Amino acid sequence: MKKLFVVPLALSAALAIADHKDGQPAEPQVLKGEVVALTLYLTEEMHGAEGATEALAALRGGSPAGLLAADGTVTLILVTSQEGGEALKYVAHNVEITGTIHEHGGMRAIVPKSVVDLGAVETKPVGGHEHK
Amino acid sequence: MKLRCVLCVGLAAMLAGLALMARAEDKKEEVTIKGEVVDMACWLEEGKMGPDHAKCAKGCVSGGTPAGIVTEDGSVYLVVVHGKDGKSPLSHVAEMVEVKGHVVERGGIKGIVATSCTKVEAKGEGSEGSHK
Repeated sequence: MKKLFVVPLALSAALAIADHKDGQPAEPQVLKGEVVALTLYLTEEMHGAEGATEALAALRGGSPAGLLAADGTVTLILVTSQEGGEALKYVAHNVEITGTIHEHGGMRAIVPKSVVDLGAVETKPVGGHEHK
Repeated sequence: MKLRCVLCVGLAAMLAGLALMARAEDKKEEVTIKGEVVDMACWLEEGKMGPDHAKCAKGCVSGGTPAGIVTEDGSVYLVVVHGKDGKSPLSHVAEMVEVKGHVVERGGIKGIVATSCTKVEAKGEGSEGSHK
């Protein structure tokens, strides 16, 4: 009788290990940064409080969203019809996103599971490009 | 006095030339890439693409999932800005396309601002086309 439980358990463990080796992290990760409209950020480096209105319009118009970290790296925010849409509400805000990270072909993305608003991004100093 | 005038005119001409050179450098060259238009969620999360996944990909992109162009060498370009004249890569989800445009790269995200997009035959695809 015990074997009936042991075999499926061993199989599940083996499958979980194999899945982890495929590069699909099982544990959600946390990323912090500013939500930006990638259309504007990639083409014009527009972000922050000054570009908030345009960024919101761009996102509503279908622009992909990204998370701009303090070190300048950008992670694509993967929004599907089922999940992730909450992050878009916080454009030009600093947020903490908990989600699953996927990396393929040089592109890094996060599928948000939860988003915590850390407040609106402060106005950039004149001539500055600080990522706050 | 004449000498001063000549020097001033010469200096102004030199500055204008330098400004023109700087503007020319700002203009990025148009590139052409070939690849399949994919929905980033399914491609990044599960590597799904191709004709078998066309229906899902079209549904995802029309539902707001960002699109990308995966080239033969496996690199991916985020579709950043799209025209509304029917030439957009978003009109060719799950199809092989040739896209002309400007590559923009910031913070680890590589995107393409498409100026034109035409469907091309996939390798091994007949004239009827199977990417529908």
